[in-house]
Amino acid sequence: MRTRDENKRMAICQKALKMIVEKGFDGLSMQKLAKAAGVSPATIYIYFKDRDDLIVQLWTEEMEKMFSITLKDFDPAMPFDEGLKVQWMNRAKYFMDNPVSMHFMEQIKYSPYHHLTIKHLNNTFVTTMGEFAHNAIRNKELVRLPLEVYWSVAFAPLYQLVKFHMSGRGLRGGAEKFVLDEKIMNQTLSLVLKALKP
Amino acid sequence: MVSEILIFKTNIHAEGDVRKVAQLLNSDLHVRKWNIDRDDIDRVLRIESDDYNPEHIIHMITRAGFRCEELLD
Repeated sequence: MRTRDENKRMAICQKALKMIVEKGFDGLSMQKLAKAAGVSPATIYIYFKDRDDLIVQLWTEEMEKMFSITLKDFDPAMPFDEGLKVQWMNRAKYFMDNPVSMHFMEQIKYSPYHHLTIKHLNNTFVTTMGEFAHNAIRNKELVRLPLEVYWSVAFAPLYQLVKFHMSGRGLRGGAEKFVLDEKIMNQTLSLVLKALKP
Repeated sequence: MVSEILIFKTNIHAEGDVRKVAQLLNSDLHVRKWNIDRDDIDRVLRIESDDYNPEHIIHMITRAGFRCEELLD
């Protein structure tokens, strides 16, 4: 009988993420991955049915990691400004600590895999986020908006700043290094909170 | 019950080939799940079975006219 070895599986996953981020989805084959991870192709197939299964499992696990870090010290019953601040801190930390994962999740978002992965989305996270927003609307801390508009105002500014930070450049090019520090984060967050007030 | 995973290198590629193999595997009492990764150069046949018996699978697949050898890890 073949036994599962979680360390082996983890090594395969890490190499696969790296390959996808460096070479795109087409750059990943089971054969190349086996070589890179120092295992035989058969070992990869013990854990994954095929390439698509591998990609979907990778995505699901990265999302779970992001969700658990995002929800740390967070409670959907928190006042809106406080809760959003916790969210910003957690999300920024996750992406800055995991640049490869962030890149991978962006790649998924703009690929045909998006439809495959979206079915595996964690419901607890979605429900918690929804609860937080609905509480805030009820408490007159948040204006009622279509979900996409809410998300774009509440989180996209942070994500863009994180991207500037990770590339090390702002809009003025190579000369000036852009660093996302707490001061800039708080400044942006207070603008976002102002925009979302009823 | 624990599932055994069996991995084979084959030359099962065309749709018709897969249909032929599907008939055999779907009617096998031990095979619980199976798939063929036709994108892979080894056309890997992956089987989840309640019985570790690679020879039985190899016999079945080769009798249907395909190459089939177990891949070991």
